[in-house]
Amino acid sequence: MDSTFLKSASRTLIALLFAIIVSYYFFRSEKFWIPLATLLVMQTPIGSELHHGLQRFLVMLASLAVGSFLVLFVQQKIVIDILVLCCFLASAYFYKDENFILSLGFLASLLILITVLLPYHSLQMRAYAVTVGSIIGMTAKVILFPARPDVEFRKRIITLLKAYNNYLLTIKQLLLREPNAESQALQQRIIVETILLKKAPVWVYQSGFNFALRQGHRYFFIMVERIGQLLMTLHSEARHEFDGEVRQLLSTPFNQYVLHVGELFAVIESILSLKKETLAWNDCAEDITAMENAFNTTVTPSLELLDISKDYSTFAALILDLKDLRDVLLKLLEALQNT
Amino acid sequence: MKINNLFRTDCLGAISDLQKLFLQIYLKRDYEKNHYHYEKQIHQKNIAILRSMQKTSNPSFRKLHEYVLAQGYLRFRIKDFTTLEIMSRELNELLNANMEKLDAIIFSLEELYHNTLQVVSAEPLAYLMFIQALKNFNEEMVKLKNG
Repeated sequence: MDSTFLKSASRTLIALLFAIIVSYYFFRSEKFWIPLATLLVMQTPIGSELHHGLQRFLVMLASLAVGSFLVLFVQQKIVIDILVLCCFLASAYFYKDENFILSLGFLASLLILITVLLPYHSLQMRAYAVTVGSIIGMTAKVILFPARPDVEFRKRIITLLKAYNNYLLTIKQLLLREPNAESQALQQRIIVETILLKKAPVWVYQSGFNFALRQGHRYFFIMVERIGQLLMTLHSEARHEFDGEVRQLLSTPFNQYVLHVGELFAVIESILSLKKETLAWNDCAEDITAMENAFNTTVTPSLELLDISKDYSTFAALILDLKDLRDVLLKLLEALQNT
Repeated sequence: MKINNLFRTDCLGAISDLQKLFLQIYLKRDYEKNHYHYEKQIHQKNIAILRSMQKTSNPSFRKLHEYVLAQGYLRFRIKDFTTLEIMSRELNELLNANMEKLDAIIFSLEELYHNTLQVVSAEPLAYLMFIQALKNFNEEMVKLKNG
């Protein structure tokens, strides 16, 4: 269990407890709405707490108004219930975390459903309760163990980069046909995929993300994602059954390349961890040249004839991907050194 | 588990969505201007693929994903996006093509590469790799289709 989860859980529990106390003493007729509003405004992404909290609060108010209107003015209650239930199920079906409109649509239909199903007292009282609950939630989110997007971003990127480096090592083993390399590469790929799904700092793409950090973090994350994509295509190229001579020629420069890329990963991680030590690194230019030379000795210089053999085109794709990987890493390093 | 995940486990559909997005980027030729917007979409579609792949053990889907990713590299390998206009007809056909037509489109792209792109483009290898990725994708799809 990591500290971010513990902080988030403690914050939510404290806010919820406070919301329950307030609703018990001050809003007995609408006591359900304060904790609900508190919980809903707290489910916002890192770095855009106020922006998204405010949006959710406004959606809650609008949903209350729509729900109350339906209860008061539509005579057949069963029709409303079925209609709202259908809306709720449809929005739940299409719900996506990352899609802003769909997630708000889901929230709105859920609230309208609750408004319609619960006994109706007063729209005004409900609006007060939602406002108080939202204030409690947003205040808790900002004051209690506030999430620091820059620290969280660096932590998550380091986790990703470590997984990438391990993945590249298994790709190297696969290319050089070491024993069990295929299963190890697949295992490492699944680890990378899981981190991308669960730990990647996707909130940098959210509208309303911290204005000061937005541009730099987005640029950095795009580059880091690109590394993952390049590694996945390198995996497919390493799987290719190269001619023995080609593999032999590639062996030494590719080993050197992976070693040097490992150094680049280590330097980037060290800067992101705010360590003072300076690590030595190599820009892999010589390794790339050595691989290009190996390519030129085995392949005809005419690109026109590349389609004769899949060996050659895969070899060319491999070198191009390795070049791009190097470029991306150097750009990341440059960006970090300039900040 | 989210409710929608119970219903939508279509891995191929997610892979096809990403491929279509890359083709749209090449057709619109405004990647440099809107690259944050496009990268966000690429990220979302990639995540959808990774999610759907967690529910299948078929290795073909990972391979297809790799080949589609390789098709997307044109976006950062070429500097002059106007060159893409030369292959806009083929890209449009790819966008609306079914599996049967893919062979013919790839052949047409190869012709275009040998006759024009190789001469006019500053980065001919990037185009060649794009065509190769399409070929690999096509081969894997045929394998998948034939079980």
